[in-house]
Amino acid sequence: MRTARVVLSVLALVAVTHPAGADERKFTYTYEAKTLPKSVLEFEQWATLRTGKEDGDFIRVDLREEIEYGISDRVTTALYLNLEYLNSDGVTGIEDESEFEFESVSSEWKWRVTDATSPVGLLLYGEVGVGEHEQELETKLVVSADAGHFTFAYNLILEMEREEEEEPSGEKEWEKESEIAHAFGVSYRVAPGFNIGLEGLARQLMEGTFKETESHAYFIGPNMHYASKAWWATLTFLKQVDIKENSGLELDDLEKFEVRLIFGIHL
Amino acid sequence: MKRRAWLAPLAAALAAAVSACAAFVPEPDPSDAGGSEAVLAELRQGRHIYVEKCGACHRLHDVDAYGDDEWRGHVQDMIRENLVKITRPEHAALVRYLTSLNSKPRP
Repeated sequence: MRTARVVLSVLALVAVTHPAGADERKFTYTYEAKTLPKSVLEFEQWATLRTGKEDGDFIRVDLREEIEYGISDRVTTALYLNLEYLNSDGVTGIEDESEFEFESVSSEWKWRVTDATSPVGLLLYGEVGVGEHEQELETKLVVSADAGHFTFAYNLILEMEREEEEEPSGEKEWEKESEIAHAFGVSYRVAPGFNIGLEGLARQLMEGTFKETESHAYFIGPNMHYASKAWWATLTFLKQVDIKENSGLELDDLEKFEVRLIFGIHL
Repeated sequence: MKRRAWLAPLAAALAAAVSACAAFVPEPDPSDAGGSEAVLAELRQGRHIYVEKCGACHRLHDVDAYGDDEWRGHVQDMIRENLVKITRPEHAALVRYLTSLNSKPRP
């Protein structure tokens, strides 16, 4: 009873102090068909924790610092710095290591095709990433819709990557990989500025440039979003699930669990 | 083929449900402007700003969801917090649209 009173008080406070808008990203893996208005600047801090292999201890944290700017009301660009912390101990197939390194820089472009009165929003997304040992091109078709207190979003993702690998002979070679993925999210507005929801991700990892399927992986989990006047934050917890009987989890390239937090602040 | 026969009605129902939830953001007409061409042009500019700038990063609220003072306060808040950048004439047009059309009866 007392807990219920506390929860209701917090929700009431949120409802009173929240402004008319500023309900930005409600998902962390799935984009909505939204852009920044012209000349508006925003900083986002991303942190993604990945953990859980077949054996041993494995933790990887991807950090992304993003500056996003509205070139026009429909075109937004962003610059990312991508950093990685990796700690691996006793994992089969991965050498023991603990390191923190700068990975790459990325340039992101978003074009919102539809206007806000359209019942279903459509956005095209492109991202190019360049680092010393990797290059990446990612495109997304983003579809989203608001219906009452609900928000629905779906992304079709195509990704190509070239990574420098060291062969046993010591020679270095560029290895091509690609991926087709589907991300979806459903979010419910509990109170103005406060949402809870569900996100899912279906990943098809491929060799070369969409040549041969290497493996499939499916993730699903809850998320929550809060937005105040000046900042917002969204948190998602994903668990890899085995939805195809006896096919097992994909733990060579991916992990059992992922947790992603994005914190955004208007500049 | 038969197994997917339910997809079309489901898609149609979803589309209808989403359309029904679209925000009330009416186009201004001459009666909203008291017959003045200049006022009508400003109201149209105000609607354009509301749809393009406000709607760029958050869902649009029904125009009739707030009273005049509430709309003025919300717009002022968004500008003060750097959530939107608009000129004084654009600010005036936006507020004029929101505070004029919020009393328009729904069709």
